[in-house]
Amino acid sequence: MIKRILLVDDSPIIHRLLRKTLESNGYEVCGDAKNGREGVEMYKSLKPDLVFMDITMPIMDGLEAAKLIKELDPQARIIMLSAMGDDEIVGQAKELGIDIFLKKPFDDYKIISAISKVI
Amino acid sequence: MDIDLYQIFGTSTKNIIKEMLDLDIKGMDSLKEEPGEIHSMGVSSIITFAGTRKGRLLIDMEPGLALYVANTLLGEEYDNIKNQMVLSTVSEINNIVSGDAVTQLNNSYSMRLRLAPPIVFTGQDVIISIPKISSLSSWGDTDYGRIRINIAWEGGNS
Amino acid sequence: MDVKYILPFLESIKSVLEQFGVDQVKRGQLAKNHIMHVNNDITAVVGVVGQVRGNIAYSMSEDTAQRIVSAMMMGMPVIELDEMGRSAIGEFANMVTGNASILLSNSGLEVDVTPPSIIFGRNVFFIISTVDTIKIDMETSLGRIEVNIGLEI
Repeated sequence: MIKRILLVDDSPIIHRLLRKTLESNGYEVCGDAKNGREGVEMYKSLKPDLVFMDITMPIMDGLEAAKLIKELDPQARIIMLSAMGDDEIVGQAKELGIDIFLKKPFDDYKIISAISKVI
Repeated sequence: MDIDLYQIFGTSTKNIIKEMLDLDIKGMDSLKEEPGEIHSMGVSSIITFAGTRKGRLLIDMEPGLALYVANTLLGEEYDNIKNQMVLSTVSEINNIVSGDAVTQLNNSYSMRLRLAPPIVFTGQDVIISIPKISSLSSWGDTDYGRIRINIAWEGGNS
Repeated sequence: MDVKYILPFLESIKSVLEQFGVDQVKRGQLAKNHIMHVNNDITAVVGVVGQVRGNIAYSMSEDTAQRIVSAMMMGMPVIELDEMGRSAIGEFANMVTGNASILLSNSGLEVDVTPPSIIFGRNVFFIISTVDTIKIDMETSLGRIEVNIGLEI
């Protein structure tokens, strides 16, 4: 079955780039959320196999959203994809049980090899 | 430490443009003091940040380079730099470059810097000034046009 | 964007201008934009980070900027916006944003203000936020100040 992936990022550019990478590698993008709160709502309704989550976003940031998603579904698979990745932020993500932390920029190889480790 | 605070942005710019676009930036090896005012070459983006110190990165591109960057990344054929997607692409490049540089500064010097959202703009005869802060610029060339970065830190570049 | 986050910035323009003896400051129309098109001569942009993240842009004509600088310098005539004048406009944007950040912290939101940038030029297209920006015209006795607020909350 085709794996369904939810994208959560405030940048339309990142949505375009990720979608291109994912679709050309046989994944389905099942939702595009522009902030953490939308991400949590879409997680509930779409039940994706995997989430790509930015950190710095309006309304609700990605760490908060990841925490809420993990509370809803401890089995949720989340890959953080952030421009910022200092020790403090990576540490916070680890505490939440995030599967993988990727720093932008990214290419197909970085994305696809991360996915293959978690689903 | 101090020269690192400037040089790291040039290194991040070159690396990220190379990684995202497979595009080489020639030059961008030296830093030169700006006399106060910067004439935009086409599309300019500014990110400010604050932590133990406050600073700013400006990335400035000639129109041809801005269009190349957007068209290559997005697979489009935009021909107007005022296009929202072109402006957003330059803005996103700055976000990724600043995120990369600031991540390293936070890890090396515990600066606890956080980024404000990028701003991006284009217009006629645009001049940018940052009052009271001295800044350093670095120029680079690509096959599609020139790029300049300008870095400023409050408290100067002693 | 909740209006309660916008009010501190508008209040601050009023109170900063009042410090310089300008007492006629009225709030005009509110509008929502994504791309911000500025047809004024001068735009000062200041960022905020912390519990609120965003950018605030203050745009005005060169005449208005000169009158503001003159008021800041206790009525000293200003006939062109030289380096000192530009620095004063940056200071004005800083004061307004700094003042607003104190009002925000009074309501429990800690923010830090980042260095201002001043952008000169007509017919400038800006994007200052991934969310919509709120535009408010502040009508003052020194001229109009167009305030664009893009806060990611």
